[in-house]
This record gives sequence, C-alpha cells and structure tokens, in this order.
Amino acid sequence: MIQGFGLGLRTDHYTDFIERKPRLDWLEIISENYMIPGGKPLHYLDRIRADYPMVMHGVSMSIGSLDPLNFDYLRQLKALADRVEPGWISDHLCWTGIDHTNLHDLLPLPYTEEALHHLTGRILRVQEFLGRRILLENVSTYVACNDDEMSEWQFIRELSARADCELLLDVNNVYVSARNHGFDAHEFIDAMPAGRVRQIHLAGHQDHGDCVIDTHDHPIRDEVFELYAYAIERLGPVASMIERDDRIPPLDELLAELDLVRKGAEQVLARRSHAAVSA
Amino acid sequence: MNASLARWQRQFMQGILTRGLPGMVRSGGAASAQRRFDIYVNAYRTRLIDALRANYPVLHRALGDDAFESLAQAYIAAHPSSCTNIRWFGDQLDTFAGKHSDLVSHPALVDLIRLEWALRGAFDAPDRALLDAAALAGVAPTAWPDLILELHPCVRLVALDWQVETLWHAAQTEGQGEPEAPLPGFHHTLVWRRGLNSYFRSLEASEAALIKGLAAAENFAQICERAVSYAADSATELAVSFLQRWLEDGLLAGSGPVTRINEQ
Repeated sequence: MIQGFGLGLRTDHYTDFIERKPRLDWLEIISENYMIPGGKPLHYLDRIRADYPMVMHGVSMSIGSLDPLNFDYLRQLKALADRVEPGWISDHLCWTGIDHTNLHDLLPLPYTEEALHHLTGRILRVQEFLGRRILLENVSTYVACNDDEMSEWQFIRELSARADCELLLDVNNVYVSARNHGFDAHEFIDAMPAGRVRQIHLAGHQDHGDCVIDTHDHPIRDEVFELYAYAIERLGPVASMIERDDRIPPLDELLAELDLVRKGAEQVLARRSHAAVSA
Repeated sequence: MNASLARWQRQFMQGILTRGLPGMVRSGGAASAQRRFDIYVNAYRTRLIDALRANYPVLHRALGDDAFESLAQAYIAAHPSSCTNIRWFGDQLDTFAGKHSDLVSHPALVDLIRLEWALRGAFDAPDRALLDAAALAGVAPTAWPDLILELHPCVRLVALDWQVETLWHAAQTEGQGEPEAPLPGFHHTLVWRRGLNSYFRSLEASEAALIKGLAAAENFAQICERAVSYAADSATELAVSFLQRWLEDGLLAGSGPVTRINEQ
C-alpha cells in the first residue's frame, strides 16, 4: 500500500538513490522512459526498485483519443507493470493525437456527454486489459471548447463513477486551469470524490499574469501550497509527491521541498482530527 | 457518433500543425484565445525539438543552436510524429537531412546523424547474455563449419562516407574550439553496448564484410569464405582472429554451446 510522500524519479538522481538511499516513502516513474528494450534505464530502474516502492505514471495512453486503443502500448505497459509491481498505474485525462499522428502533448477534452460516453468505454477496456483500476489525472488546460456541457470537475466526478476508475489530483493543474479559465479552484476540489483520489501531484508553474503555464520547472508556489492544504483537509491523507520535469535541482533541494509538503499536510491533518475529536 | 469530439480533435491537431486557431475554441478570458492556443502550438514544437536534441547531441553541438533548430523545425513539419513513445522520434532525420542539404552545413553531418542514431539504438537495445569463449572451446572441430554465431542485438553496422568519428570525439572534449571538418572516406563503423556503456570503432573492409555475414546468419564456413577475398591463403586464420576480437568486445550473444545448424 503506497502512502505518504514521494518524488518523481529522474535520471539526474539515479546515483543519489542508489548510493545514499534517502528516506522517501515511494517513487513515481514515467512509464515510457522504461518502455524500451533494455540497457541503462532498466538497469537503474531495477536497482532503485529494490529499495523503493513505486507507482507508474504514463503520458501516452491517449485515453480520450478517437483513434483505436493502442494495444501494443498497453501490452508494453503491462509488461513493465509485471517488472515494477507498482502500487498503481496512472495516465492523463486527455488525448495526445488522432489519425495516428502523435502530438506528444496532453490535450484538453470537450466536457460533453459524448466525450463521457467515449471515455467510459475505453477506460473500462483498459482496466479490464490491465486487470486493475487505473488513476487518471486532471491536466492543465489553456483553452476550452465551445461545446462544453459541464464543468471539468463535474466531468471528472461523473466519469470516475461511470468507469469506476481512480483519480490522480494534480493540485497545480487545478490552479493553472482555474486561473486560465476563471473558475474557483476550491469548487473543483470540493467536487472530487474522496474515495477515488489515490494520489496528488504538486509542481511549479509560470505566472504570466493573463495566463498561467504549467511548466514543472520551478518550486511549488504558495498559492498551490494553500490549495494543497485545502485538498488534504477535504480528502484526508492522500499519497502526495512533487513532480519536477525541467531544471531539475539537486535531490536534496527536492527532499527539502517535500519536507515542507509533509509538514503542511501533517498540520492540516492534526487540525482535522482535533476538530473531529472536539465535534 | 462522436461528431463533436471528432471535430474538436481534428481541428485542434490542424491548429497545432498549421499554427491556426480552431474555430471550436471558446473565446473570452484574460488572454486572447489565440494567445492561449499558442501555448499548445509552441509546446508541441519545443517538446519535439528537445527530443531531437536528446537523440542527436553531437549534431546539435556541430550545428549550433540556431541551425539545429531550423533543421528540427523543418523535420517536424515534414514528419509529424507517429511513434507512441517520443524516445523514437527522429528516426528519419538522416534521409531528411540528405535531401535538404541547405539545412546542414556540411554533407558529412548526414553520416553523423546515422552514427548518433545507431549509438542511441545501442544504448537501450535488448539485454542478452554474451557468448562465453569457454562455450566455443567445447565445440567439436567437425561442428565448426556449421556453427552460427549470433550478433548481440545491440550491435549496429553503419556505412559512412565520411570520417565523422572525429566530430564525435571532438564533442567529448569541452573547449577545444571548432572541430575540423571530417575527411571523406567510405568505411563501416561498428556500434555496440557492453554493460551500460556504448562504444564504436571503425572497421577495415574485411572485418565489415565478415560482420555482414554474421548479421545474415551465415555459418562459420560461409564467414571463412568471405575472408578469402581479403586473405586468400589464410582465410580461416583471419576469421578466427576477428572472432577472438568479437568475443573480447562482447559482440556475440548466447549463453551455451552454439550447435544450431544453418538450414539451407
């Protein structure tokens, strides 16, 4: 059972994890980085896996695409899962391409009944193939579709119920999308079904004033820390991690930042249980 | 069925590929719809350029930032990705660069692209046990002619018109100034990985010919026949000396005695 606080495994930190074995509850790997025939990445993966529990996080399932499900990809994903024995497997609530062109980006979906129907069937098939429920993550979005029939949080809540999938709540992405589209991030968090949120992502972004870009190349900003505290207060102790993808700092910096996350969560949870006892 | 979703995804993709604004994008918000959509337009290109830079670090160094980006942008426009994993993006860059000589400052860089792609392929090629020399020692002399030696799946044989290895070596030493332009000279370079490290070395024509025989699953008698062209009187000795080198380099796969018979 994966609990507590983790980090995304990045190549810059392979040696740190092997030689120093810093205390950390778990690591998240990017599945595609290890969906390769062999060599150094898999060698380091196996060595680090021996010391840390792991979860798998993918970027290529393209669960929302109108292209057929890619079973070659799913077979490779399953083979990697057999090797890693992850706590869970996640990907993104998005599409990455259509007509067999891959744009390699996490692209927004229209929030419509039609999309709900399309996604539900695909998630059920993927979960059946993998033999496990998957987690889907809310992505940062910069544009919305004219055809939207519901909010993103209504869409996610309904989809997770219909497809019986779990959720990876990226608090930074909620903040980024809320700023870009002018909705209340708290309303989004309030709508999340507590029993389905298994993991939380935290990351940094770039604030350009009139729009906010999800870059994962900076420390977590205060506004996102506050939203995280709000989420933990409502959802309870959800496994949380920092997702840093660019301008990767020394591991100790990320561990120090993760300590702040841990302390913040512990304070909220202590307050929460105190309030429960008093009530 | 899925009419709206299909229109959205096709419009969105066209918008990214052609730098347009999909009609279905809702306007409003602090920033204009075009400005917000441009985040996707730019991220698409940035991510693919980063992928090419990761696959071709020495080419990037040889061309410099601006020329590398021009080549990358042109390649991305001509070859939208169809690979699931971005790791494999750029597999046709050598052909593309060969056809667009205006985008590469020297024709030898096409060979550099091929060398780097082979190195990248060796890096994460399948893991297999190496053939142990002791396993060969147990092969009866009469069985040798039918013996088939298997190249390790990480091994790549690259035909090059230029001696671009110098560019690769120059890139490993920081601050040595501009590397000299490679000299012309057709040859084969062998690329492989041993353990976690990748290697390459340029080959004499004789060794290249024999390795082509291995790649074609020829038996040892056929490999020795190839050697006749290079050492008429001592073909077997030449083949055996190469075999020793291949074992030392870790080019052969296999874990037990090799007794498979060539079916012809």
